[in-house]
Amino acid sequence: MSLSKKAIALVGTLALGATAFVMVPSSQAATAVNGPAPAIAGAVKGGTLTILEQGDFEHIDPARNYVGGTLDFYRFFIRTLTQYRTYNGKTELVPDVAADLGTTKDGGSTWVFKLRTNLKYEDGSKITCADLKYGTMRSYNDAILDGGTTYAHDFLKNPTNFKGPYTEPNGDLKSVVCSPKGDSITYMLSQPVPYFPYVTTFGSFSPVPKAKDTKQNYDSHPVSSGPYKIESYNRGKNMTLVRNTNWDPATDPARWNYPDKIVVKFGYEQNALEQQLVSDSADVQTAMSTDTGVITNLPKVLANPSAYKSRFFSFVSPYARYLAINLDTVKDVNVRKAIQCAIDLRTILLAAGGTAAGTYSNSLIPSSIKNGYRNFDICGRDVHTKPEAQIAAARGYLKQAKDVKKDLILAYRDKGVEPQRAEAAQQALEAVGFTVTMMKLPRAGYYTRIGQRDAGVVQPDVIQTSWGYDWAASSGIVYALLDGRTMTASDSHSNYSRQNVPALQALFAKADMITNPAASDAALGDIDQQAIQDYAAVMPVYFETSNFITGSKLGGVQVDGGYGTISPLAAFVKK
Amino acid sequence: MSLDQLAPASTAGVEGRSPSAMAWERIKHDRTAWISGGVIFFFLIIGIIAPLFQRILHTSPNSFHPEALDEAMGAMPIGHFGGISSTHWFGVEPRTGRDILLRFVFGARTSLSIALTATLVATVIGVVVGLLSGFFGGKIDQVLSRMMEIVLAFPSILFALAITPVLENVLESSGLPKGNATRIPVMIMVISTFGWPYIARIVRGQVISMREREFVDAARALGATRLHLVFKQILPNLWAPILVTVALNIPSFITQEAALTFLGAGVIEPTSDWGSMLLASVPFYSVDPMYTFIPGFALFLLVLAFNLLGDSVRDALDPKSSR
Repeated sequence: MSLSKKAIALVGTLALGATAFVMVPSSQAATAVNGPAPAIAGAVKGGTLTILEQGDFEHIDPARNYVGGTLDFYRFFIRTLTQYRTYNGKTELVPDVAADLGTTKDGGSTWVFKLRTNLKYEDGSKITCADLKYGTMRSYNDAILDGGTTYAHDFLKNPTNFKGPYTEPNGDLKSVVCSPKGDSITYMLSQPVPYFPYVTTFGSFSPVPKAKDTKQNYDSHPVSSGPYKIESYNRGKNMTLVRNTNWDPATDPARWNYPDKIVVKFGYEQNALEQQLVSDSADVQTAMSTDTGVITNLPKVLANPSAYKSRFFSFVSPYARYLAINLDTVKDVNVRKAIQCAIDLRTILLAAGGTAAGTYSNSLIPSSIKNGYRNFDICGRDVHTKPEAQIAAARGYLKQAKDVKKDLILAYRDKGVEPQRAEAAQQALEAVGFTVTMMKLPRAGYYTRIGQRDAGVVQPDVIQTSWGYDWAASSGIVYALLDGRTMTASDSHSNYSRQNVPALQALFAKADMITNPAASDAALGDIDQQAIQDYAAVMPVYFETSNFITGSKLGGVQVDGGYGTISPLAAFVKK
Repeated sequence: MSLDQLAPASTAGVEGRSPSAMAWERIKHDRTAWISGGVIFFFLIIGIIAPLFQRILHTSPNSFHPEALDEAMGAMPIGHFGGISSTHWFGVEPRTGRDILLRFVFGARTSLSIALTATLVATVIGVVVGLLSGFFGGKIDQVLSRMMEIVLAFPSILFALAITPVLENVLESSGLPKGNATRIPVMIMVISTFGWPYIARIVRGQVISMREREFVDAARALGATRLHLVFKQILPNLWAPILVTVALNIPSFITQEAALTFLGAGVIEPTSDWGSMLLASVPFYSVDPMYTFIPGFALFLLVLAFNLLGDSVRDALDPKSSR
């Protein structure tokens, strides 16, 4: 399956499922079907939780939200068909609006979910199956409701080419069917998708009451189905959430509601906020941030770990940072291998903040995906100790190359530590004899620009980029980053390496046929290894480590395994 | 008593000295002028001999030194005061390990050469416009004076931030290479564009008070052309006010250059520059204060030195306008 361009444009903002990922939910024991969610140790009700952010949420309309931190946060007022629940460090998929995790009888092409029938919106009206279907249908109006995932379009059958209820008020999406009683919903897919219950955690599988749909304006006040409702929302300034008394904890296994009020404030500056949180100044003691990690102040925390222990959160995020090598322009595999050998992982990781900021990687698949990850070696070297050997190996490959290309264009985004990382890569490449031209690109539109293949557009040879997977399986990574079928003549989409080697494409064709998740992970893991080791299509660099700090008077803050973010969902204010 | 007897005595007592000699005499006895002049000279010299430091320290301003960084502690410099050691005299940059001394001396080069070039350009434009405006008066003066006022009315830094990318695009599309080869000329253009009216106004005022003087009339009577009058008769009498304005313009141009770079419309990394060093150091000020202190203090010292020297020059040339 190929991910559409919309999903790709948001790469780097979204990351899912780092822990406890179990495939084939149809057979999963219903351990956590019903509410309420288990109590957090020591939690007390009351008080105001403050969330301080640099920027406003891009979108909170469920059909448009595709940002990891916001997907985590908006669960305070948005319920979806299924959802992740993180409790005591363990993340599992639980039914949310659904009453089970779905069943399929045909290997994943048709999915049936039982529904909870006693759920209410903030105004007390009932949440119905029709609302759930309408929530999916309106996501087809993506010219108006931009942003968001495209999984509904990608996977659901659409025989009548339905274009959304705004365009076709009387149209119907025939592949989503509610039972006559409204207690179950059926989805018919155009291909088997064994991990479909994970896809339904996204907002396009969330109930929206048709009468309350205000199109673009729904983004400023989606009707709440969760434990809190929006009292006020001033874009770019602040948002206040108060309790939704029509939400019943007994119906919800995934959410908590400890604070009386949640206040979100926007417009903070990275370094100032970071310092306030680290020093725990009086006004941030009941506050946290979901978009501001500890970066430059990290040495302070690392120097005195015991002082910060209870409020410091460090976790490996699923963001793979890597360099894509353009097969369109760097045609000789030996030149590409020379590039791989030349890259000095150590200087790149140092530029990002050292080993506290990331873990070296050899693969695009993280080691947490056990069946897909392969512990292979690139260039046969020890990155820490032998830069000379690495340079010699790179020069060796350059000598073997027939189609020598020594002038390289390195594309990178002008954001955070990315320029420094690119400079580190430049120095390493120039040390073995390449001449590197730096192509600094603005943050906005970066992913679109590096994917352009049109003749006449300057093509970068080495592209510094990253990928956060949407579900923790090889399929969430390898198809998007290495499958030649994702490309068009003018757009590589997320296959930034422009990989289209026939031998690898033959392996993809085989992998398509596999429905067993473990076997699929393994087959795609082999493709990842071959693409890196034999064809040198990418050079993995590291998996990012996120470091967050919260105010000292907050408890219950968790690292959410579903979205790979710091989560306020179970937070409480200490008395 | 004959005149013959008096003459030698009077020449011995009251030596005929030109105004410049008198000014020089005053400067010579001004300690502030000497010290500030010394500071300026010092920075100019380190800028000029920057490549020598590169030889002594066996590295370049842009080379990374991973060995000087603590990989586990957020990639901060190993050692005290930002990693000051016998190999890195001013310490190293966090995360990259680039040598701060080298970045500092090469930064002095960039910062000073941009500021000085901009001063030169602004002075030439300012003097020419001021002379023409003051000498010809009438319509020409009105047009030129309004131009000066318009330029002075612009919020210069804001306007510079806005115009830099536009100018850069125009230059790049006309064939100049991307990067600093375009950016630095743009910076010089922008800074001097907003600097020339100060000089022009002072020159204009001086010219107006001078154009009716006897020596100008005399030259005019002898049939001198207007250009001759402007550039050969009036200009040589203006060097004192020009010098003072220039001396006071340089420090303001240095801060403008640093400010532009600090705000992101200046010199592009990895070329080092004091403004970009300050910018890069800001996030680290609480964990590595030395890194901010070095370029910040140098900038402060140089600007102060130029200002004090400017004051001294003004006092020396025009003792009546004492503080």
